[in-house]
Amino acid sequence: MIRYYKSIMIILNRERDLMIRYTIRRLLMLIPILIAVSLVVYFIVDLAPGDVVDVIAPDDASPEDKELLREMMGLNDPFIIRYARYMQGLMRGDLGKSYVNNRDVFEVYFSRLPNTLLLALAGAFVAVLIAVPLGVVSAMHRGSWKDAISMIFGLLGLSMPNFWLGLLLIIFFSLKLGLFPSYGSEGWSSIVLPAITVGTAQAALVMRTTRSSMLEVVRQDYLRTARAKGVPERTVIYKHALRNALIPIVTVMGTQLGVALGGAVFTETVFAWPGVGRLVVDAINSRDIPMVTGCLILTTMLASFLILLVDIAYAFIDPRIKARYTK
Amino acid sequence: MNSKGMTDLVLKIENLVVHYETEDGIVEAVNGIDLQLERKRVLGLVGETGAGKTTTALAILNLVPDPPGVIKSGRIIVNGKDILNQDIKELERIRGKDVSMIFQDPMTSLNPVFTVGEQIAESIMLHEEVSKREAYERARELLELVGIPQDRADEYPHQFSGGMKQRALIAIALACRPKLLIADEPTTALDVTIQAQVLEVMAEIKEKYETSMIMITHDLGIVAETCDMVAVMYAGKIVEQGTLKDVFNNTKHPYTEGLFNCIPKINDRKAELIPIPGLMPDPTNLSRGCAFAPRCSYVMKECHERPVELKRINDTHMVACHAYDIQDFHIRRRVGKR
Amino acid sequence: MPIIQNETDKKAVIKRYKRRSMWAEVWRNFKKSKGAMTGIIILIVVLSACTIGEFIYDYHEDIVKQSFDQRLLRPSWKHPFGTDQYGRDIFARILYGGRYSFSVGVVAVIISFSIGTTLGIVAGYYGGVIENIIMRITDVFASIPSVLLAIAITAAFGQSLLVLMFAVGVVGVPAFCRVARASVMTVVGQEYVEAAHAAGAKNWQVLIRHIVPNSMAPIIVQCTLRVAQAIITASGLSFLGLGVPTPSPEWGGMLSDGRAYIRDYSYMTMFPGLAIMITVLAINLIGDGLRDAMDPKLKR
Repeated sequence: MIRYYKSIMIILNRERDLMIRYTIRRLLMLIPILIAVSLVVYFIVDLAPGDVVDVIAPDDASPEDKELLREMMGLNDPFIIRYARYMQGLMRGDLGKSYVNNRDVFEVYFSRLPNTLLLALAGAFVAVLIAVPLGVVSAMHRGSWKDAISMIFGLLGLSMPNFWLGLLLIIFFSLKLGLFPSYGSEGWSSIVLPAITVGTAQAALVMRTTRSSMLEVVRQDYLRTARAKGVPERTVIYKHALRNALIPIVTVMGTQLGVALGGAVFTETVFAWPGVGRLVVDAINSRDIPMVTGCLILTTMLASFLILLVDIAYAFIDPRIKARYTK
Repeated sequence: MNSKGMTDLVLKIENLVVHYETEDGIVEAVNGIDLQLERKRVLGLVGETGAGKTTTALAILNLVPDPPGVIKSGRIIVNGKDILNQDIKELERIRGKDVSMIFQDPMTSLNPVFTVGEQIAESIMLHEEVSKREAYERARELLELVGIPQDRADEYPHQFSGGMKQRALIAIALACRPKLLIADEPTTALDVTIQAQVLEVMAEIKEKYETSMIMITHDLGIVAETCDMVAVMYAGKIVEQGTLKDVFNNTKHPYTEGLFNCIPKINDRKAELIPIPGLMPDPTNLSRGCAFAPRCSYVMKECHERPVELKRINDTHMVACHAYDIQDFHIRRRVGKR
Repeated sequence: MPIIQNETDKKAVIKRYKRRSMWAEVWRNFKKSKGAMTGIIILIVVLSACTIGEFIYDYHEDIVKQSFDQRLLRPSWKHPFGTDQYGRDIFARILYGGRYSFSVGVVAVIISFSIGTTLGIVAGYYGGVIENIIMRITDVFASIPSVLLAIAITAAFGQSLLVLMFAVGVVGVPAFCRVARASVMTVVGQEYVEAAHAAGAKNWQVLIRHIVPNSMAPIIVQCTLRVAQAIITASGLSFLGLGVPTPSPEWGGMLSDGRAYIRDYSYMTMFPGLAIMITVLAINLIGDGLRDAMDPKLKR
């Protein structure tokens, strides 16, 4: 067995092997963070007044009956014990049942998650498609009208609350022009407006990051070296410069995917999009504590995981970072 | 092109003027220089920081950063091609093929995200009809040629030492056997021990590829070792120009004299170094007269008033100094043999 | 002959040099930025409009009183932005509502700034175990999507202006902590800090005299940009019904009201959103201007 493992390790080239080891190490390091994050979220939600007994007990139940029920359900146990019990449940994929409709929190969450991820990815797609070229052009023609237009786009995108942008899109493209549906998730046309809503703020940030990152890179000596050996200007910019400018852009993209998971609460509310964001809002409005806790903890874990992916992606962009990782 | 004498010229610069138009004023970086370089010769371009050496070099590649740089006038002929009147496509064919350049700071001149082999091979693939494999193979050979083991071609610049980076840059510059190589202070950023090695590599390859070269430096020692011809620049102008022998043994310009006086003598270590008093003039505000006048120990009244021009002393030697209008003028070159 | 002959002249010269210090330079660059000046003008206009609104409108008479004969009137001279479903003048409500956005924005940033910057400076200056603990805690809070964290806090403490300020403030702490730490770390490495230590200055003296003033630039930029962010987050929470409770005229809450009437009375959603955007835009413009003015690298 050990010999077999060894021969595999030899086949894998050294560097890849190191990257895999680094990834595993980072995944292990994620565990304490996930535990801490879940602890924080559980603690905060636990502070909320009222509990399940108030919701499920019949109206005529006496305070003594309620207290008895609490004792039986373990609600009077110390915080840390309740938390440990909760985390045990999480391991088994059991986060309790909704107070409102008695559905399994874990199941409901994962049935909604694909919708949110779809929206986040569609938004990111819109963002990259528009923002990176815009940022590059803006940096290359610094001070020109192209730069001015890009910068105005960036500022507006950054300053516009996305729930308002969503409403504006509904007013114009759905109600006035009738091009796209204003709510729901049926068919491809229904994702267009939500994706633009999610994508615009991201695009603005990515564009601004691309611009400033490119401005930083275009002064570097190695671009002069490239030009001096006859590399065409387009290649200088899109290969030699952009590759170097990519780190901050990827960082923003990564954190934005995390933000999109949280920010989905607005877009999904505006467009009645059946994702986890609306699930959270509905759960809070109906004081559905298990659902709120479950959604927050799972989404946060997902976001932490995304941040880790971005960190690992750095290594593939910049050999210097890879060298640091694999040391 | 037509006469035999012309074909032997690899580089011809006529009346080159380059300004940087900045918010704080117009920097007159290069103010009308003429240069010629014959095949297989090495020209040393000497002067202090800010004298316009690098700008001149960048102009030869038509790579003066614009904005703020503007080539106001002049003609630059490299290998029979008029550099300043080429479209961008043609220029990209010339850069790296007819003329290439090695920059001052090897630490920042290699792209950190590509392997060294990739960066050499890119140059080959741009200018020659070769397969990717062939280009990489040649990149490895080039590395070997500059004294770096072939298997390090797959490494990234951060894995190279400063001297190795400069060698890699030399390999990039020489990848397509250019007719003219411009080396902009190629050893300034390196340790003294590495300097000699790098210079040696350059000399070898130049010999092998029959490349002409411009060696930009402020180190007269390097000039003595590597160059056939010397041009001394001051405030964007050439003040003295000639063969190595002309300039070193028969120094004419007070500024050149000043440069010699501030290097230590190997056979007279007690000799006092005499610094040139004052600073380079503000390039946004040059006087009409000789730019060196405020620092010159032979200064006369007319130096401040009348512009100087290069005057011929013999077939090869030229100097720009009013003092030679006076008969029997001699500068006081410090004693000591070179 | 000495150039400066008497004490008064000497003082004048010193004063002039002081005025051309870093901050003078920043101000000079800032003034040149058209965007930043536009931002300042917009902000002044918005702020003074809101202040005037504060004086001319009475909360009970003009802001929350319902008058059904006036309901859902389109914009006109009498009601420039129209009226809402309860017949309240939207223009008056928007002017009056500015107080919520501005107070939440400013107070939240004061909270994030004071906690985050202190932690960041301590982490960056002392390093070691202290830094590790602070930064790991920051990591934990930063990995919770900020909107969700704010939602959780408002869910836990109930709806009120104070909770909203606190929630939005807490959410901004990690960003300040990271920026402050990074900024301090670059300053700590500078020669003049080493020089101060070598000259025998105590830790706290170095911290207060050299480190803090020299690492302020990115933190100040962060402040302005965070105010803008905080205003958006706060109005978003109100939009979800988790912020300032009705009937207070918070801009996000008004947007939420307008949603039900979006088909026929879209002006109800237009104006509150426009108010948020213009305010945030002005602050972002100022933030951008400040950043460019403070970043000598990008000047060329």
